[in-house]
Amino acid sequence: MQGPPNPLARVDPVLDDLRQPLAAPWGDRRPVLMMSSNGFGMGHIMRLLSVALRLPRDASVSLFSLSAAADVLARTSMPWSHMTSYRPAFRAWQWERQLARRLADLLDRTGAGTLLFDGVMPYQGLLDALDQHAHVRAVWLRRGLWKPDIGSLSLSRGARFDHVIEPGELHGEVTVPQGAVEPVGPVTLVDRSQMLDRATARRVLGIAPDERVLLVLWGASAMRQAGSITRQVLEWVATTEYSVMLPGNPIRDVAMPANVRTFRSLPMAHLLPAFDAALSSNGYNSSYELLVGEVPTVFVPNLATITDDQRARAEVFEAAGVALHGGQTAASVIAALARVLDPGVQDRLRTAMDAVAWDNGAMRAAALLREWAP
Amino acid sequence: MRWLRVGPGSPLRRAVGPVVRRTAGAWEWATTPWLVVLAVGRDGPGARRAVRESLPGSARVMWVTDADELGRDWPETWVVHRVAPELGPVTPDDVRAWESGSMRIRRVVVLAKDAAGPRDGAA
Repeated sequence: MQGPPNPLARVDPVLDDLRQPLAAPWGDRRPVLMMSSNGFGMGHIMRLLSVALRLPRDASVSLFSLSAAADVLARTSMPWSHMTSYRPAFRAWQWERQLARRLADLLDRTGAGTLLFDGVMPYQGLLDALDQHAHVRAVWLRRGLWKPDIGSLSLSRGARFDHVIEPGELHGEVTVPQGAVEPVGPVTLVDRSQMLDRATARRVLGIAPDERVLLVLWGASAMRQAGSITRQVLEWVATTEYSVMLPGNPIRDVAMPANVRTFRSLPMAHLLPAFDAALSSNGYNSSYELLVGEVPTVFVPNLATITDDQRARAEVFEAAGVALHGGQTAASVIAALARVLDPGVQDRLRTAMDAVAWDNGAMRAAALLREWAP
Repeated sequence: MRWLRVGPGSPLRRAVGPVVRRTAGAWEWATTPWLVVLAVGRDGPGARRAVRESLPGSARVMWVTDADELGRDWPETWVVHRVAPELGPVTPDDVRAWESGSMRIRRVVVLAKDAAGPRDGAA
């Protein structure tokens, strides 16, 4: 007998369908306001959502984002607000002051007892708003693996937070041990148990059962850097049995080769089992989604990021035998791809990924927020 | 600061256009003036197009909305603040509180459902 249709078996699923709430009730604890910084990618917002969707069902959560992509939050049932981080006529102090007032207003409206911030730089406006709300428990969800000698001002501002949660890396080490850091496991929006099976994911994406498909996944900030490499790689893949799928088109001024299809799904992690292999930049969220989804991947670190040490992450992955490091040139990427398209290499990488005891850090972060909440 | 209310008695474009054109006259000599448009409950492609087409290209606009679409492709002189309708109404006083000491507001235009027609609610 066929069960009910899986609500995730579609592109752009309702984000609330990914809820995995803690069993323990929130009770009479005060609401939570989550704030993400700016940025063109989705990393900060998605990490917050990963935690928000794992808080108890009776927890009152609202979100505030500076990201231009914040309207993805409309696909949740949670109240959300946006303030521009774009400052065409603001001086920095003016913008910070306005941020402080917007944030203070939101803290008052929500009655929040906890503010969870995900971003690299705790803005002055954020600190000012916290100063006006001394009763609010301030928590910094601070992705680790910062480049060496980067971010001393940001890290010094960590002292204003009551707690710092570091979304973990594969090796389980605290990578930015500044402040009262609580490490958790790698944080992903989608658990392995929530991913679709291969056949269903392929049906959603329109991939034939016997087709060999490479996912090319560049983070937003990597697109400019990766453009020329991407074109050469796609031309090389066209000489193989593989076709390529891209979420969007990073090569804006070049017609797509015949072996390339684009799709759009946000999130897309639930669809990852559809792919035989992947080529990806090494940002935090997509990297761990690919590993949890057990997709054999060649990672190409984006060296242009300011704080995120993607090269170090790629080295950690390669040392653990769960992925390949593609280097920085088209030749090195193609050489790594030639390996990852080999079925024997894919089997070895999948076995290594399957051996990792994935413990979604979002669940632990949610439990910590519950524990600390006033 | 002056408050303008624009009602639904006439098509939105006809209502908003003259209002915004009146503010535009003072634009040239102001240093960093902002036109704040409270489009809460009234946002949509028509409202955005009407306001955009009524303004000179250099006009700086803060668009306060509760719509789900941020409109990230807007001209560079527009910024969007989105408020959560679940967290209560946003009034001109709220906007004034946000801007105090941080930006100069030349005019606030309220796109309201309940006004009888365009009126200049000078404050």
